[in-house]
Amino acid sequence: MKKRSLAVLLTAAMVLGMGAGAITANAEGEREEVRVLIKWSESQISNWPELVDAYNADDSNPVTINLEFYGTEGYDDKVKAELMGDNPAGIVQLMKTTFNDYAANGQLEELSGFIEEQGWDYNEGALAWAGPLDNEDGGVYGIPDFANTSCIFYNTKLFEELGLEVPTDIESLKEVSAALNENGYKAIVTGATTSCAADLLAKVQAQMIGSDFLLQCYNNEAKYNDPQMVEALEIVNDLVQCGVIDASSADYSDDDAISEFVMGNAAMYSAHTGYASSIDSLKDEDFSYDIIETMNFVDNPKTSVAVTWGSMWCIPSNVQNKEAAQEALAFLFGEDVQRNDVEVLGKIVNVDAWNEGLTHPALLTAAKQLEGAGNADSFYLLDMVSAKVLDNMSKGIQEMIQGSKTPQEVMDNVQMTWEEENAQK
Amino acid sequence: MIRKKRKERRWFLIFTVPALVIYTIFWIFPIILSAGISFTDWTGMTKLSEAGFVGLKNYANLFQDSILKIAVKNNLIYGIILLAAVPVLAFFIAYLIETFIRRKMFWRTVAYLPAILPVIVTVLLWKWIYNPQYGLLNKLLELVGLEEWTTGWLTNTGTALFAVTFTSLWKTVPTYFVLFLAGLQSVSRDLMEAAVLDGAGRLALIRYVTLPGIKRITVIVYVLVFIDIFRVFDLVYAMTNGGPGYYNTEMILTYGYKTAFTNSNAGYGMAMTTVLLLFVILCSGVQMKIQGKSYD
Repeated sequence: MKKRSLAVLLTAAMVLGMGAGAITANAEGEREEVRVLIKWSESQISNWPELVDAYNADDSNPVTINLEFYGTEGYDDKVKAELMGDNPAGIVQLMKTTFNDYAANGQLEELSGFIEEQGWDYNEGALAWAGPLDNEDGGVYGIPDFANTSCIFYNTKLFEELGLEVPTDIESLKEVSAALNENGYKAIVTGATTSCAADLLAKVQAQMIGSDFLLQCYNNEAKYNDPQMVEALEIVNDLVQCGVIDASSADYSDDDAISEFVMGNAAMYSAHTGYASSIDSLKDEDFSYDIIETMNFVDNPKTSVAVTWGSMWCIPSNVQNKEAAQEALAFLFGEDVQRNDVEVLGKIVNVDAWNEGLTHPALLTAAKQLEGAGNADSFYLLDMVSAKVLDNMSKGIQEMIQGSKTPQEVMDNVQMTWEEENAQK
Repeated sequence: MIRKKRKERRWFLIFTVPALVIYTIFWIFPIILSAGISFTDWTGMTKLSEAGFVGLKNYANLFQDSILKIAVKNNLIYGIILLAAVPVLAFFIAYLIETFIRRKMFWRTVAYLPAILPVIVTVLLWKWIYNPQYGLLNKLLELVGLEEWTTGWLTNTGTALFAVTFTSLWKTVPTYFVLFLAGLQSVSRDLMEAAVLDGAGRLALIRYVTLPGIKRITVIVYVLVFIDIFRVFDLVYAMTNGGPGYYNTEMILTYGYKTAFTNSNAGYGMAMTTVLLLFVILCSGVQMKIQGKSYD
């Protein structure tokens, strides 16, 4: 008897539960929900959940947005599964190399018309590379989020204490570094076990050769071990040999390099502006830093800045409700959220006018660099070419800093890897 | 009688079929599927149905792959060290605890501890030990006056593979130590006492009584370690991700994974793992046959 009563009770609970679920689903079904797949952790865009909650709470908005934070681990596999499925998320965040592949495969929605419709005055350079590297129609397949300028951070207090002038070219950089070394400080540190090793080359390469050349390499019209590319890497190697880039960088991840910088052991840290938040989270209150405003690695550089975007926000081409996805994208990258990103997160966004609220001293310098300079040539593509090539390049530069490979050997190896990759596909 | 047998068979099926179904779906089917994918140009980014058949192209490419050559070399160095050290160390730790040490239960637990630690905890622990700036190993070397030996153990291209291998040893030996422990406890006491009465010393006891007594377990340990060598993935992936420099700790599986999933060349990545699987099955079979024969 007891068992039967229990069974009846459980069945009733199940039926009621299902009924309630259906009613709730019906009620929510009035506004389409757009899922947003995010590779970052919530702390990286900590302002978004609150803004999205407010958006969702307002019934006059056409859709509801569901932010799904995954973090780095396993994210790429999750995106693959979503893009291969029949009901992918409305918006996916893609990093450079995967963005290039998906855009080239035709798996992303073209967004030029959408951007035009929104009236967003996007930085010309940011949109120039918002498609696959063999982008013949010049289409835009993603919204580039933040502008990260390749830069050298420096410890302003230490420079003042030692009476050092902020360098502007290679010669003055060498002089400053020699003075720093004499005083027992490392000059520049960087994370050579991570992507910042290639970032070093990207800075020089962008100034010396320009983005078009990398495009030619990607399309097999030029070679990575071209004398120009080797010469660019030789400049980096020369900086290592002269003690400008400290050899200990070969052992450092970006976290290690930042630690050295904020602890005052190293006077400069080479990375891109995206790392400012990491520096801020580790530094003491009395530690102050800025970005070297002008650093010419070559005479008459092709561009005054070397800039890249953080990631791309795309709509899968097989999305079920394109309009709903566009509504969500319009909100997330519209003026309100973007201005909030600038003010709260201290990010530089790709619409110059929206950067007014920037207060971070170092990022203000970067934004100043960017004004009017953000054209197609100032965007570096080194980390967009191919995951395997980029990985090989970073590894090679690490070996070069350790003194076991020459610039020529590094670039030969890059070219060989690229050729092998082409043959394998 | 026949009815009883039928009934037994029915129960046998009832108990085994669920396990067989799960095993087939999650182990056998993926192996067959990945072998099938290895004959295609599937990138892993589009639907499998869109992939084209490329015959043996992926297998032919294996011979031209310079990174794979490095990965095979690394795997062999790692494997030789593990194969030489793991069974020997595991046996001696088990023998020491069983023969010489008093608080056996405590020491068995201590010795087994690394085996139960999750890989990621092991990696964090050893990354901290090897850290060039504040790592325990460098601090110890400085303490004993060997400053010139200090280095970034995981970032120095000359030391990284050995640092990873040592960590793997630390984690693997306890797993097999337990097997030897069980084996040692099963060696006949009578035989031991008889040998002692006959005047056998400690070394003679090990050689003529203990080792023959645990031969079957030794065979199993060698086969399992051999398989482990080629299964190494998580430890390397989390510790060095194949670096530093030119793939100094890259292993066949880590490279296969990157090829299939990071570099979007699933067909080629599957060819790599299929060859590895066949190689391990073949070698394990031969090894078991040879060692099994010597056991008989």
